[in-house]
Amino acid sequence: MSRCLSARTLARLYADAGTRGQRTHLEACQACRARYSEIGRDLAVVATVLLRTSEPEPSHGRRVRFWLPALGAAATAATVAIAIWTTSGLRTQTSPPRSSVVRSDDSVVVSTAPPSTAESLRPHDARIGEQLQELEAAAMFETWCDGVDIEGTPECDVKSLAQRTNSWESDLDS
Amino acid sequence: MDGASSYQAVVEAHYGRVRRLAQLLLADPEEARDVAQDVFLKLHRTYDRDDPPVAWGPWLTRVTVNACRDRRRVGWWPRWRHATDRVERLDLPALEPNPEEVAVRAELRRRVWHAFRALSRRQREVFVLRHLEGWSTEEVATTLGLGVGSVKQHLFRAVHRLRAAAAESP
Repeated sequence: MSRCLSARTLARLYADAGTRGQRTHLEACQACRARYSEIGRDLAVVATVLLRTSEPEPSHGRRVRFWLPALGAAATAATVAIAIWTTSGLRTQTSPPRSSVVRSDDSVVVSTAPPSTAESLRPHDARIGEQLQELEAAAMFETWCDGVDIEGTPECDVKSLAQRTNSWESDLDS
Repeated sequence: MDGASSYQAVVEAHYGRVRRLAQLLLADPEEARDVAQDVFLKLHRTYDRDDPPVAWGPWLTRVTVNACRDRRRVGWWPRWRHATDRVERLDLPALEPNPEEVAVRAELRRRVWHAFRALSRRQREVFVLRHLEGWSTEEVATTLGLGVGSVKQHLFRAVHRLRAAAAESP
């Protein structure tokens, strides 16, 4: 005869689990059958308690657990709020101007902001500056001479216009 | 028997069992009462359908288990809300003691309930349906959407722990 079954194995058989060999042993072994019946009696007591008696009042510790989710959520929200408030305050106090960052040796200035329109149009050398001034004067002249009083304006006669046109063309050629 | 009276007969036959089942799965008498009302409201809507269930007992059990699951999914807020308002749950002296409660000693009762509440949700559901409702392992597996092996495993753990609690010497 094989060894008797353990309490765990008997519980496993009671739960419809276990192997065919264990079940065969249970049917053959009177001692194991008696222990198996004990499980049935104990579970009958469990069923009687669960079905016929009222549940005891939960202990204080169990009641406290209802508070834990609310407490955890509140603590998390407070932590996040403090972190955001602190971070935004520090940023306001310590952040450098957005337009530029000066290195510690003051030798290099790195611009992090896009250049303004005036800066982008600034001439790179004197030659370009002169050309711009001439073009602006020509445009102004053209505006003056484009009106109805062209005959009455001394700088707008045909001879002056021809001279200026020749001068601009030679400038452009050079 | 007309429809109304037969409906009433189903309610009378199963109301106590359904409420008890809900209380076992939810651990809260107020929630269990709400679930029982929901279940029988559903029964009322289903009762006059053209294709009623073959047996109302298993149908009610299935609906109750699902309603308890839905109730648990709602979250901690309703439980917390009810937990602050439990005057009616205070132990009041009964005029006539329940003989079964007298027979079962208080210590054993405390141990068994404690062990039952210490089980996982799945273990509780499986144990209640298999041992208290008397369903087969396959029916439990189908209702809970588990494999048969998984049901056996949950049942084994529940049996092992509850038996230990019941057999423990005071």
